[in-house]
Amino acid sequence: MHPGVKLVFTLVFIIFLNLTPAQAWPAYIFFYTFLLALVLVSRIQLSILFQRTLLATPFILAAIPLIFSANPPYYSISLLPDVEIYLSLEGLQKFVSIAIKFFISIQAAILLTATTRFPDLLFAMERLKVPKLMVAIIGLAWRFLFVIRDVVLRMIRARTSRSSSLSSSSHSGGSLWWRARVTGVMAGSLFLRSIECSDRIYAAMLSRGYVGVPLPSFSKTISINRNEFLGLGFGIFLIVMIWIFGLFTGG
Amino acid sequence: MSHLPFLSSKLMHIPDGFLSVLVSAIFWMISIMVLIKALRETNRLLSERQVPLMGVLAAAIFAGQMLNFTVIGGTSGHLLGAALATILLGPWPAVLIMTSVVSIQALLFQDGGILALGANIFNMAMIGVFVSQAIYTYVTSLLKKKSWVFFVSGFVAAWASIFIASLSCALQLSLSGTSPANVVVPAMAAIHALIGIGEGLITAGALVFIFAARKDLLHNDLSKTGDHKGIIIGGSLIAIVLAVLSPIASSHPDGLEWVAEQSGFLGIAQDAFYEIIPDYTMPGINDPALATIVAGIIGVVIVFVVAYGVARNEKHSKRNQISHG
Repeated sequence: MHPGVKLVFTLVFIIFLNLTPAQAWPAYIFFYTFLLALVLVSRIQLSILFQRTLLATPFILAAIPLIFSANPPYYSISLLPDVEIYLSLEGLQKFVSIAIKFFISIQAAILLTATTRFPDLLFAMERLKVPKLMVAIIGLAWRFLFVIRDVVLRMIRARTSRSSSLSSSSHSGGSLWWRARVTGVMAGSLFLRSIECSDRIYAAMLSRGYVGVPLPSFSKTISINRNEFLGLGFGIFLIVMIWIFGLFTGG
Repeated sequence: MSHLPFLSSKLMHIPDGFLSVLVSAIFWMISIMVLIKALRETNRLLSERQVPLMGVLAAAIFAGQMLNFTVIGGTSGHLLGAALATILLGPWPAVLIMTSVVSIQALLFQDGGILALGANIFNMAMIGVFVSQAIYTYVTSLLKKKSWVFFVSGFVAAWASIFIASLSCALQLSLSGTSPANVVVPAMAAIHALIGIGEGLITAGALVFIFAARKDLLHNDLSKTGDHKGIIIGGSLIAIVLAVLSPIASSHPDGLEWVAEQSGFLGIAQDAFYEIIPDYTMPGINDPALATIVAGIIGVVIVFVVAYGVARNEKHSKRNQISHG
């Protein structure tokens, strides 16, 4: 499928999901059904989907205070004989709504990245009029990310073998100050290496005929065909219907 | 899990679902305007030679976020890199580099949401860079001709960039009604005041190293070209406004939501939006509980049908493969 279609669809899906008011439980079910159906059709592994979702969950902490601080009525729950906490029902509902929206949005984003190669995504961004320079920088960063990650991992391994990673100063070779300085020097040398590396890359690009125009796209010739266009229209229509439904059922 | 090492700087990457669409849209617009300016300035100042440099440095900052050092029992300091990029390359290229980093984190690693990307770019790529630039310039001019000037100004700039960016992040959350300002602002501020120390130490260490190894990079024309007065004033303004606004917001019970309601801004926007469709109840399903049950049943049926279809299809294609091959 054309990457632009997928990108636009994902954006529309996430925007309308987040426009849906709080407590629109039935609409959430429809949104998630729609997404799950797409996940099934795309045949990505469910375990990957949920693993990646879990990795991002800690942020939910930010919304927990809502449970205790939203508008009355409050319900008191006694934890211990003398200790009572007050919960706000409205706050709890808000919190659950946020958690559900987060859960569905992130899975939509995972579906997009799991089914689209990154060069295709860059191509889609170019099609959506993201400036060429920006796309070129993001593309280059992505290409060299894994090379430089290996450099960093080597540095960390080297440091670990010289045992500066332990926290007690008798084993780590130095104080907190020293550990921070070592890490700083690592960051500095990483930067210098990258700058030197980029000079070589530039020379290599020049020798392949680079004249300042960003790298040519990978699938420039492909355009959105009629079926994909109809599919996109139908998908967005469904999303809007679910959203309108959500407006009526939401609180 | 190969991507685990990348997930180090969770706290400031807001995922989708936590910001209201209105807040997200506002910060998308601000970010896009600043980005257009940054692209124009970068095009003017730098040759095409710098494109690979910016790409590789973005990758280096991304990977460099894995660099950390243990502080006390489990906690660790690590690098975000906005200040380092600003000091080495100047503010406008640094905005582009940090934007690339934040975008790749959102698009590829789900570190931060897609709808919330505008706000995340604003916090980490713009506030981080502008505040660093402003503070770095101030401190450097205060401590003229001291040999340890890079160390001190780098440390302070890096600490401030983290701290102010976290305030902005907290205010966005409370403006969206996701987290009460009197909880989230002090919490984010306290955590990032500590994280900022780690960032500051690493940045300062890196600068000292670069100063010793490649002095020319710190005195190059790259970061000195162009007039950065606007950025310096803007960065200081952002820092001052956020530093003043945060305690005010958090001392009021309902924080920013109250401010927004008082000024009638949020209310008007939302009312207008929802009044497109007047009071109307769905025929048949005006009982929310019933609607939930019906939605659940329809959902289960749809998922089942799709799963069945996929399974059948797979069987067919397998049979075809066998008969053909």
